[in-house]
Amino acid sequence: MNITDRRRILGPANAKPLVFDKSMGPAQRGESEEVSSETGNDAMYIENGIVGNSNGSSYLEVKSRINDKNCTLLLTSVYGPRPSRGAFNAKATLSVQFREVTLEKIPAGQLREVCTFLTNIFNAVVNLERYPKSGIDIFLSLIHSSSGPQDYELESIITTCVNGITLAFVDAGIEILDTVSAGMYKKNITAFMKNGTEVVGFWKDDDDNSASEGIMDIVEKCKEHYLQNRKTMIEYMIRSSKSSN
Amino acid sequence: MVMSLTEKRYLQESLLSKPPVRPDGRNAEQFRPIEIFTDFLPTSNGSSKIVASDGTECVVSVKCKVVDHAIEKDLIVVDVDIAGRRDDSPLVQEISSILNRVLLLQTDQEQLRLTKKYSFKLYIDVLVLSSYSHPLTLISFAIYSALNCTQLPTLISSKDDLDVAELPTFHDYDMTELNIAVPIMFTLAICGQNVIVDPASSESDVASNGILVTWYNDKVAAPVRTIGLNEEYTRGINPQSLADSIQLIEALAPKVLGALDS
Repeated sequence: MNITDRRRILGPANAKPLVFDKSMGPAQRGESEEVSSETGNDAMYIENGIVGNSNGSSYLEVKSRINDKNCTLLLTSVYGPRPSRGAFNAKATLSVQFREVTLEKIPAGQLREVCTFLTNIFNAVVNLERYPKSGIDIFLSLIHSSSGPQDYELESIITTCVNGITLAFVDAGIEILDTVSAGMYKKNITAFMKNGTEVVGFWKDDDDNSASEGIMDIVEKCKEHYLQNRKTMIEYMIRSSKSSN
Repeated sequence: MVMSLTEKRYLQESLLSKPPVRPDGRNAEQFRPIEIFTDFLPTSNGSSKIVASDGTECVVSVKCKVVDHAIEKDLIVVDVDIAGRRDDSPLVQEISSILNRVLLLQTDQEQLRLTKKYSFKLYIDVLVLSSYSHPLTLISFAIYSALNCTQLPTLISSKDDLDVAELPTFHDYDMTELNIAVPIMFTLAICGQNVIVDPASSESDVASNGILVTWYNDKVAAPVRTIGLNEEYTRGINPQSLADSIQLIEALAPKVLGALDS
């Protein structure tokens, strides 16, 4: 973990930085880390700490069980908290940058919407009071996304982004209020925290599929997917912290 | 207006109370008074100006052009300009991207069809002269009134131009009213368990979260999403608040449309 700028709130002189799980070395694909539940829709491959110069990073491969052409590969890196110059800010400021590193398929305006949506989610989730006068930058690199008939499915990308950012924050050791994760149901996304009792983000951009369903039903369905995703992520974090000890 | 921490705290507490106490004395479901002027730009096909009581002002102009719809698929283009903000700033790009997509997806492009080959393409230019709160609601009201007073030239040549190629010719002075259903969008602020409509800038500054709800063809339509109204006070919300805000819009939107149409 990069501790060059951890001078915000220092604690006692003999304090040691909180060390979260380290990278697990070369990945063994298809073995222990490929986590999936039989009832779930997705198979998820997770690896943390790939990007060496960042404070925390995560790599996610998500493959849908229903539509095997739907696959998303996303690399998230978190830089910070690093000092921000200028006016005094009592809280850290968060920024999200999204980039498609291979083929650029998504229109720029839509990417901007996704970035502000994600920033809004994580403004509610990161304990920003802990990092005064600093900035936290999140960089999302979409390596691949496909969705059968369409070129890309923005909704599954956003879901992956939320999960990836949470994992990267855990890897960076930045304080978050809860393990946030998103669930998707028929192109509706809901990001939850606190065991599904609080919604931090809701996204519905296309109501052809779920026009007749009430919003509470949609949120309930998303919650099921959220609980699965969160379980997968927590299982991974526990396993990787065990193996690094 | 920049508020001190104490003022914000006070305002937050009063908005959290049940029922919410809003700084300008409105009810939770009450809009600020707005003034709308339509059809005042002589050189455009339709125009409107909307002024909110806090001084937020927005001008919308609609112009049309005849295009070959086999070549140009997108028949509505929205361009947003907000005074004091760069064109590449997140807010401007986000608003113009949302508006472009909503108008393209939701409106019936058949209404713009002129002949079998040609269509009208609408250029909607939005200029926000001054804005204090999230301008999306006002912009969408202004676009709604501008499109509803848009007059397009009347076609006098034949509608079937596939066999005999001819360019569309128009009547010298007769205009036809554009008749399309236009979606409108509402921003709501969530403060604790309360949902308030049309948040003023001070209310946006302390809201726990914001919700964007679109109303089209007498029902709530996509996009519905959470939007950030501030960076400091953003919190998670109760799922029930989502349902509450949709209910609120279902009750309010017909009245708002009635007011806009009158």
